[in-house]
Amino acid sequence: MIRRWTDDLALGMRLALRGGGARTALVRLALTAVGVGLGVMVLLTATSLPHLLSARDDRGASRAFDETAAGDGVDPVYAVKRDDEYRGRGLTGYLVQPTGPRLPEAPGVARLPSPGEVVLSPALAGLLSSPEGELLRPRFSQRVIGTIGDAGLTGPNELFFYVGSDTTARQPDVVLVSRFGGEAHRRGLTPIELLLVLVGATTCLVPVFVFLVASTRLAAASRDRRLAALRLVGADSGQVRRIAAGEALLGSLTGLLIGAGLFLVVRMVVPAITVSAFGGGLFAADIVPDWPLAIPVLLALPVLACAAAVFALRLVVIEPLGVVRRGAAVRRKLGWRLLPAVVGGALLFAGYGSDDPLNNAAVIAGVVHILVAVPVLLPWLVERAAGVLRGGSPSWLLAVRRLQLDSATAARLVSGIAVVLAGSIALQGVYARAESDQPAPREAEVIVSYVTASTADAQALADTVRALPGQGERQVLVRGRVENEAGERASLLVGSCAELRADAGLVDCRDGEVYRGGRPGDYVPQAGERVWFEGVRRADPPQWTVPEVRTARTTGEDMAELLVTRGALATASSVTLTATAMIPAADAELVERVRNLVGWNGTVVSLGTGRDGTYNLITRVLSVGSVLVLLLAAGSLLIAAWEQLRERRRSLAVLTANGVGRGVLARSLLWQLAIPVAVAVMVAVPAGLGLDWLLLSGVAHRPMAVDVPAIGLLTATAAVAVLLVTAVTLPALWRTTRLEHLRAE
Amino acid sequence: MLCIVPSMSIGHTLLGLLETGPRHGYDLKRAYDDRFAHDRRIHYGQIYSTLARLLKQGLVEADGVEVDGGPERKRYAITDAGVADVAEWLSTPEKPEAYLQNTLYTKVVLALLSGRAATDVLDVQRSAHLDAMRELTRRKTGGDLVDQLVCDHALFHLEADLRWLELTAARLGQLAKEIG
Amino acid sequence: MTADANFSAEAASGTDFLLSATDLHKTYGPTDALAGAGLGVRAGEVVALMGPSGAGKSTLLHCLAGIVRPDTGTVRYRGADLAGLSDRARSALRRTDFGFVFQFGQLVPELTCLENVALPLRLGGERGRAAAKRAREMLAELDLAEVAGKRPGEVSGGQGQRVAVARALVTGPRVVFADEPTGALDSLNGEQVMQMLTTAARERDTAVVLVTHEARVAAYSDREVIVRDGRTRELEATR
Repeated sequence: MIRRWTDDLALGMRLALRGGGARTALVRLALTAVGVGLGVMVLLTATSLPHLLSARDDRGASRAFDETAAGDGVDPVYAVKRDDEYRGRGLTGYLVQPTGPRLPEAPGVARLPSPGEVVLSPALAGLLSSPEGELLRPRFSQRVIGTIGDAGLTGPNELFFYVGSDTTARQPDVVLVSRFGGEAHRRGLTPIELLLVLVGATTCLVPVFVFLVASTRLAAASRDRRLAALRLVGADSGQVRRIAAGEALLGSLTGLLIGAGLFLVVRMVVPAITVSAFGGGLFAADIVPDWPLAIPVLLALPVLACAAAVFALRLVVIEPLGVVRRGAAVRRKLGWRLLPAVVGGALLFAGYGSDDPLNNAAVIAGVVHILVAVPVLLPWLVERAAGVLRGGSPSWLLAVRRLQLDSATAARLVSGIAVVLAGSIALQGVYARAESDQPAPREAEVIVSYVTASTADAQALADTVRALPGQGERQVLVRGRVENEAGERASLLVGSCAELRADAGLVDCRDGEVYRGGRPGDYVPQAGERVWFEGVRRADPPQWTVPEVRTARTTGEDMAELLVTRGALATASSVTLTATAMIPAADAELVERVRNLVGWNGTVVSLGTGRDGTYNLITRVLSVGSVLVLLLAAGSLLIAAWEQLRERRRSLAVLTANGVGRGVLARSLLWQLAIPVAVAVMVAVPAGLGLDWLLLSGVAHRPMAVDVPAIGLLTATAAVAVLLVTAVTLPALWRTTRLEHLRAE
Repeated sequence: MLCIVPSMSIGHTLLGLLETGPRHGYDLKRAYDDRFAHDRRIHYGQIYSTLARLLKQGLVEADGVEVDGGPERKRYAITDAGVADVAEWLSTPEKPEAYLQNTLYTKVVLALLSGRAATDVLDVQRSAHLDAMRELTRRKTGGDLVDQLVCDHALFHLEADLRWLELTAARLGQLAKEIG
Repeated sequence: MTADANFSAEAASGTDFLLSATDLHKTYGPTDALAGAGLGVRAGEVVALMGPSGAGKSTLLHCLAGIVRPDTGTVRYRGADLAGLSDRARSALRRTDFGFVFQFGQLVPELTCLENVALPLRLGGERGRAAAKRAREMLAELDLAEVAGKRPGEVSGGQGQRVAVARALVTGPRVVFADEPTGALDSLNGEQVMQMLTTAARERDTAVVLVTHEARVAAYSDREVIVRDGRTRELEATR
């Protein structure tokens, strides 16, 4: 029996290769292969996502500080994490200061740097040596002793560094590290980002499936005749089904190969296009499909193609002569067609509320169902719409009657476009919402915090800041925090009398004095109290004895409890002060200069200038993807239109012979495409908006934002696609209506 | 071109006309002329001599007595034997020959007038034609080129007959509605 | 004397008919295609089904071949009721015991003529090479050796029909069903096809059920059955 089955499949494959002339057969084969290939590529990429994210997170975790491990055989290093920025790109790394010769192992690093040395990631090294990195170089003046390997980076374009600095131990947030490696901290996608990915993937996949089904239906009439002939000669229904499956099998097996090839291409291309997204891009080696998930999917696609081919046969299998005589045309039923929409809506509603992992499966399933509902509902709607239309001009009449006779083909043609349209509209809505969620580029602020051990240093910084172009009047506040034995804390504002007057509204001031500020009831150190400065270890002796605290009138509202003149701190053994300045981020160069000024002894935090590339990447991929898929849908429309022309060539030639002008035929072709597309648009737009509403309000809990111009643009694109397809089909129409086709073949 | 009509056929025709009911001599002539004479009318003499023969054969009988008058004023009626004779004649196929139409036509119309199904006549005739055609086909299959040519010729004519027959049957179907 | 012989059940069981049908009724939508048709076919004889178009000839043929199931009535092949057979069995029957020559559209356009002729053998499980050999012999017998490698679209109408005849006969069937086999052909080609069909069939003792409206085609048969208004009518021979 196995031999019989393989014989049947082999016969089917042979027929597929030969069907209807070599060219048509190859075209159909190629289309099926492309359809399956695209589906395979998308699915393989999608199933790589889990591994991708976890691999990155693992590598990120492997270089985290392990604070609990005790070092045996290893001299611990002082280490501080620094999150910096350069022209909006994230720049991260560690300051390290070894305590002894036996250094701990850091992933990807041959040897941790000593003071004056630095280890850079390849991207950072490249940036520094390029002209673009000019303003960055002052920060990395050390000697480069090596580059970080892939194992120590989350992405190929990540900017990461290990800087050896002897001021590390004094930094406020320093830790002593004997080992690198910690718990993986999974950076998930935000709900909105996840939604974008899900809706986008489904929008890309459903048209691929529709395309797949449509391509197996290509040249259906001749295939039906062929299989009916086989039935007549004595193939039983099982054999005929196997033969039909064999025809589809060839295309889908080729498609698997193509899809694998495309996937490899994707792997190569991805690191290049994900430059700054996901914090440093994606490694090609990370894109590995999740095989337990991917293999069933890979097997499912050819099976689906075969199932589509076999299902299309059901009428022929029953009557060996094909459907020779028809009774009254079967009118389509609405009932079961509403099912996917209802189920999809229910699934999405079930996703209302919490976001646990189960929820995501429900969201995917819900989105898929609603997008699938579009090509399921379309045939019924097109049939009803065509039935309602009346005749008019000859071209309209021809088109309407043709549609009434064969609405299935028309509906199939435009299903792909409808799904893409619906999905794109939903995406547009989610995207618009996500866009508005991004913080507005208000005047970003740069907060400079410079930790210094002496007031002189702080003063120097303030002077230097004010020396920058345009910053002469910049307010630079020098603050500190002190803690007494009991653990009570108070904050200080330090400056010259002029500064204190300007910043805190201190009216009477004399250098060397300490004044009381803050709100009534706050803890204020008493004269004679011995305090430590923030960040200093308690084991060391207190650094400062608070002198007499005078009360004074203040017109300002600064929160600091003590207003300290510089002279008052002269008696401190050491201080830890923070100079803070708020600089508008408008001038990027200025910001970088300030960063260079601060160096590694402080942080320059800018609010609102950082741009996470992740979001941009997702939107870019999705827009490219939806354009590609729209092209695919339009392509399938075109091919199906050509095929239709071929099958109708005899009747069209007869029409021409009877004097029906070319213009009329061309217009009828236009109407034939335009009417189903109009129905498709009328279905797709509400479907997309509805999906958008369901997703945003139900799953991401955001109000809906309708971007009308974008919807108009998408709809117009669909209309233009129709016109283009008609225009491109016209030459084929002229060829088919040549009177030669009247000749009996 | 007029076909030679054997006298036997005139006798049968008159019998067939009488089957519908007794008629006078001049009635018979008129009916015959109307329906069957085509180009030339039949002579009274032919009618009377035929009637005389039929009378002698016992296929018709004089019906009623017209006191004075010649044969044309006599009324004739068909006898049972005459009915049987007509029946046999109508249901016997003609030897298939070319140019059979007149007799066929005559038969078919008479059959219709008397209420018989035209299709029966046609079916029977077709069967006979086909048998002849079968014989010709057999001869053709085994024969040489000349045989083939001759047989084809005959076959085509026979086929032409049958095609006319079928068309006639279809027309008569319509005609039956009009007459009936 | 002529007599009608309407085919009755008694007649069917009495004589040994290879293929018989009794009292077939079939309705397509509002039209009655068959209204009590029946006939019997003996082994090796050529039967012509004649009648006006729309009378139900083709439907009767399809019912006899088991392609279409009649609403009521029985079709027996070698004593077995066709209605009782599964689709598998009826397909097998079509493959081994029946052959088909239709007016057009029956050869698979994608395959070469040789492959078309070999198709029933392949479907029956015969190996490729053996099937091709038998097919080639069949084509040679029908004087078609030169079209073996061509596709049906590349050969003339007459040649195509002869290829169809070859395909119908290659499995050695007991009955060949021919539905207007010469309908699309000119006179000479028609003659050739009918000659080959009937000669080859008689050589193999294969019965032929022939649907035609042309008398010259029917002249190749042994007897004819008139189909009119869905009913059949046979006349006993008047010799």
